[in-house]
Amino acid sequence: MRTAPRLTNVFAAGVIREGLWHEFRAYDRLFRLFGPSRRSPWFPFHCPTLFAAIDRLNLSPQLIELAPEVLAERPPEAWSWLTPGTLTIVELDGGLAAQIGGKLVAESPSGAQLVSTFDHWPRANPQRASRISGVQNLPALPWPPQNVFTGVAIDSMDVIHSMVSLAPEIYRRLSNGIDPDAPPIWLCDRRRVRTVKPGPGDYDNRYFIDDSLLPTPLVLRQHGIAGLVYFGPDADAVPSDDLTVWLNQCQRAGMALRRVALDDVRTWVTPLPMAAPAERRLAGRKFPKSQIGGFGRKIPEPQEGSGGSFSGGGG
Amino acid sequence: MRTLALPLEPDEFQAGLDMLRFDYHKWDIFHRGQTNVLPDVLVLSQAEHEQLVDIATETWQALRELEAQVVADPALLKAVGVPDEVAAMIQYDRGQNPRLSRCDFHLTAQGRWVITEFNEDGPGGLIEGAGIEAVLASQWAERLDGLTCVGELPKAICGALAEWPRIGLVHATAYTEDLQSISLVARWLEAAGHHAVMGSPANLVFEDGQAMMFGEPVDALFRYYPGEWLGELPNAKCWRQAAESLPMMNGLGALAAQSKRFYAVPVEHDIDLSDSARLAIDSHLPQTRYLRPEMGDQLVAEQADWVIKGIFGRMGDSVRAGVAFRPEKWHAKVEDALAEADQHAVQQRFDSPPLWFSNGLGYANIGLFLVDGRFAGYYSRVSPYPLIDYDSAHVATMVEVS
Repeated sequence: MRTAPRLTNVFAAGVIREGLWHEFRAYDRLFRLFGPSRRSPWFPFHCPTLFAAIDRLNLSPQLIELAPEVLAERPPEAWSWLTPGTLTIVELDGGLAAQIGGKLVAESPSGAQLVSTFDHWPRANPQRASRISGVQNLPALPWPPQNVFTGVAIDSMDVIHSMVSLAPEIYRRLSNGIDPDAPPIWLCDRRRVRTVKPGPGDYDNRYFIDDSLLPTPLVLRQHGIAGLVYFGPDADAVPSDDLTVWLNQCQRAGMALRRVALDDVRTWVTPLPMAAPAERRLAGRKFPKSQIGGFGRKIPEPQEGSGGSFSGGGG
Repeated sequence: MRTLALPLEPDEFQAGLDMLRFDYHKWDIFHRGQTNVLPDVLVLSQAEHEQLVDIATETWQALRELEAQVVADPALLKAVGVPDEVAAMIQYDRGQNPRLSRCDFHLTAQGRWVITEFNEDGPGGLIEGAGIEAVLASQWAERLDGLTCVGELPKAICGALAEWPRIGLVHATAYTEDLQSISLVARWLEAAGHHAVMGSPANLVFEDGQAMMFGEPVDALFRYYPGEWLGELPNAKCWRQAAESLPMMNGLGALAAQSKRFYAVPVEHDIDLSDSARLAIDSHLPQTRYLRPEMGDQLVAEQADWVIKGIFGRMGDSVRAGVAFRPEKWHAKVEDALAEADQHAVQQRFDSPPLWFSNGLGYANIGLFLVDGRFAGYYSRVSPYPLIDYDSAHVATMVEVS
């Protein structure tokens, strides 16, 4: 058996020397920075799967350019709504979600806690990669991501690259300390309900967020959450199907829903009220995943809600 | 059997959970926001451990005798519910495959050990069994004086696959809980000198008679994918070829023994079974019958005595115990099951008293792994109610040192 990995306390003295991006390439350092502290009530929802892939698959996180929206000038008082009692759901395409989430933490008035929901490995073929040597000397990868593997619905390497690129800013912010009730930010990959070959009822369902990654309204209430902010790409963006039931439950429990649109900087300052999305009633308590592994067969439209057998692209 | 609260401070236990999560791939240590690993140990006496091993191995042998008859007879395969497409594959099964089984024990109110079922088709609990106990043994053995973890599941699995250098591991890629298990087994195999290739069963191809996954040749498979779904695969023909030519842990014949109707075969059919095999099945498994339309009134009248099981249910997802329902609800459950009677079995219920754990009273199930019929380790679960399902928590099993 190889030497087992150990979790490093990234904030312990001497662990980070210069605070440069390549010092955060280890899976456990990213796991800590892109999740809440162990004592946070949100820790049980922070998903280690994608981080574990960095270790298990020998992945090489690299510096990547930031998206133009991430670099855009902030209006005064941007993110001022990011206060205790607010849970934010950032639902953007992969790496963009990680970049925006990272910036929200770094620029938040009172700090924030990320919760990563990437409950999958980056590619369908979980073979070990060859470690790229001298990666810290390579130029930043271009944005938008190039050489995306199109054989699966989600090639999550851009998430990993984005995390390591934002890690120094998050590290600096968290090193200054944050309040225990700092608002949580759920990071969700908007691409997760897409398919390699789009078509009616045909999508890859392996990446869906199930109820193990979403706190119940009761839990939210217990920890002081009074409202939710949905951070999507534009004003017309609709939350993905696997969030709709939960958002409706939250609203019925008395929590206000608001939205921020990435393409509308006015909402960065003042989120707009949001109606609860149409509820996509799903079969069972857990969204039915593909019985044949997330590949190859069509699955019923979610609103049919009959379970059955499934599938989509990838594999 | 008794329980023992782990003599650990909360921070120490959390550190142990971290090890379990990142050293042993148990990523989902939370369920509904709560830790699903108990800070307790189920303690068996040496005599109890030996008794469980004896019962499990004896019953395992009996079930292999029964399985040989079932897989050789297409009518019996159909009777236990094996899908036609998979039954056709089983006809070509090369046999002599390594076998990983998990036998689930409960201690009855009368002090008797009862096996509710053997999990023969991709049994779960590999991480939780081997991982939790490895963490305890490596970190806190000195605080658990007089107790020891028994069995070496990784060594047993690798040993059974030792003669094949390149192992393909297939799993249902939609499920992260399966990915975490299979990636740990891949690590065990790599540490034992194998080359491991992970993928979905749809990634299996044959090129000039050589099995391949992702362009890499494989000599044998570790199948962690339910056999009843194989017929639906786009490459089902490859799986027939695999059944015929590729060593596989477990072979497709295991699906017959996974069916909940399998245990009813000796009483439902006139088959030639040795007296010792019949005795072992009668002694250690609850009475099991096929669900038949004419049984409806009896099941309603004797509600508290029966459990209805879907033939290929997993993690308790299709188990209906009469005692758990109001009469009118149970009646409806019986009607639902009768509508698909050939997809169900009925099993006599037994009482299993709860034990005290750190989180209160819980019902314990002791899973005992066998590799090729030999003891390989434990995996135990605790449920807040008398049914083991997704709400169950994992708990370590240790044996008193004699």
